[in-house]
Amino acid sequence: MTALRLHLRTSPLRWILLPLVALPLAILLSQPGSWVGSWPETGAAVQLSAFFLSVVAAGAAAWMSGSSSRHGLDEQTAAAAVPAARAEAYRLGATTVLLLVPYLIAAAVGFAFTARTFPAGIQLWFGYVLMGTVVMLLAVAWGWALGRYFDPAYSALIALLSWFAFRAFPGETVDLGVVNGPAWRQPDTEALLVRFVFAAVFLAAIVWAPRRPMRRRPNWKGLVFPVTGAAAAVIATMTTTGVSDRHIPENPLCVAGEVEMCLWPEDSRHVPVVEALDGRLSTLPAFWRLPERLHEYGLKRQRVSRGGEVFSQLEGDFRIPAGSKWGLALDLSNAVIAQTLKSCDWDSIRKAEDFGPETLRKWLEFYLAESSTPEYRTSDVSQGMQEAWSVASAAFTEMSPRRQLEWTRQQLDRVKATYCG
Amino acid sequence: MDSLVIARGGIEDHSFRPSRTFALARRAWVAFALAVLLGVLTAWAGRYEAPVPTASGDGDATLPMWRLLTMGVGTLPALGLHSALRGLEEVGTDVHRRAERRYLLCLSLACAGAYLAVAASALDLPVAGIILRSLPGWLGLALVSGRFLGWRLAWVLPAGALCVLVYWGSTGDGGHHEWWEFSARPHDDVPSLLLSLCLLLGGVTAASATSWRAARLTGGRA
Repeated sequence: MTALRLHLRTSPLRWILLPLVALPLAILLSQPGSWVGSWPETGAAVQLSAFFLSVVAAGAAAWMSGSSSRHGLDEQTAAAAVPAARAEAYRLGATTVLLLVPYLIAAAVGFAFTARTFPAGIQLWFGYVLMGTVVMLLAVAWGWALGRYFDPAYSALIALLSWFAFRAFPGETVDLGVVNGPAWRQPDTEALLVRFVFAAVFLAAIVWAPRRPMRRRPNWKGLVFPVTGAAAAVIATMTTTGVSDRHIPENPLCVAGEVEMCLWPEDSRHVPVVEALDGRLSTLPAFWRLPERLHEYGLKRQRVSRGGEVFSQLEGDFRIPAGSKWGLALDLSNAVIAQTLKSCDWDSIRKAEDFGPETLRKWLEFYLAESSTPEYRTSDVSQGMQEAWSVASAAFTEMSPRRQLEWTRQQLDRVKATYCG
Repeated sequence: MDSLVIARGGIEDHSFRPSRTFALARRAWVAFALAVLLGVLTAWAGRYEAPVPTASGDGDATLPMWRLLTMGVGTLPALGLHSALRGLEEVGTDVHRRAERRYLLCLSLACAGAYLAVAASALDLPVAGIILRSLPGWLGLALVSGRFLGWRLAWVLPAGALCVLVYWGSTGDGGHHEWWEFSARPHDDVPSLLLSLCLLLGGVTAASATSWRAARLTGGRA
């Protein structure tokens, strides 16, 4: 431990520790959406910083790896009383710790923000943080391995480019990381622990690899252990699933009101938004039919048959992306329109390209959100839809509340008279 | 000063070629070979786009591989300046500095030329234009980084800048980028070109600020 402490105190990485800490913190604190107050979102936000931090870590590890050669100490290290592998293990250990510190500081900051309300689901935060830790370990191992064998001037660039390319391209398919952490998804902690162990094995295996084996006579036997370690880490990563759908909880968080809305317990921070929009629903006139109960996405499952194979997939009535009232207003307006026009022939509406129901839905969305300027963006919107939204916007902004009531009543009557039995 | 001239005259008398010696002390061929390799990779998979996280929360934000590899090519010439005799070279005279400038110019042009020649065959003209425009910017950042941290660490600033550009550079408006995102904005974007050239200018200035010059400017001792 004394040797490790000595390496920690003398490593040149400590000079760049401040920018290394600043990078994940800046990424964490500038992230869109409110991750504060939700453990899975906090964990995912922290884990996201590992995407970029690992790129720098791969380069830094490659640079540190070549420090013996850089200072012309290869021969001294090889002839030292302490085995060369042990000496390198200390250097690698200190490098790993110093490169993990910025990430763990970001994790601690994320924890501190959400711990103030301490909602349910802290194990999800841990899972996502572990996910990012595995990425950091793999990046350090990759960088260190390349730093040992490539030209010391270029190894860091090769390491960071190859790691970035791997992380951004095939890394996407093996879910090494996530962009967000919705409550209905969970990091598979067991699988991630397996990945963590194999990443650590890979890290340890590099130390035992022969130094510069390709320079004079290749020591193929010496490569067996590190290559096996690397292969095990890759196989463990490729064959495990990092994130999966969660089971429906027995006791979801249901907010009673005009419409009972059930949330994931981890999304308790959304209760004020739900209550606010439920308050708006209660002010709607009686000709609007409201559903009795709505579920957040993931709290329902539906059996789907595709290609002769039956499987269940997640369902739900609403989402509240980034805690925005607009996401909820959009889904609530859909639910209310579906309930109000339940007996209508929707196929006929579609065939006739009648955007009347869409106009009403959009008006409802504006009414619930109490604004006509949505926070979300839309793309590839048809001409008819755009016109319908313009009409809804004009009605909401230009008509008096009383006139809006009459107008919506007339529109609804027309749609019902035309398409509903 | 007279003694310097005499010394230089003596060197020339013995057919000493500083630029050649300067290049031989470095492994420029590795930089050139890597530029060709990156060109091959760009031609092969340069158009491949991977989803990347962005601060704007744009779920559709992607990073084409050519942008990543261009950063690498732009950094190579600065890394190629690395020498095991760095400490000794600090006291190099204008002969040494002239050789350094020639070496950097030739290696930059060779790397950029080789990379573009190999990669351009598989890329559209506008993309080749963006690559050509962003290379000076990356080189400038690498020179600044190398000057202050040592040439072996010339990758630090470009790597950090790439993270910043990728994460904060997207406006989240359907693939649009901030005005300072010089590595991704359209090929005919003037602010990006100016920024790229300014970065190069900054890099060249930093590279020419030797410890002697810096000491003279600050009034301190070399």
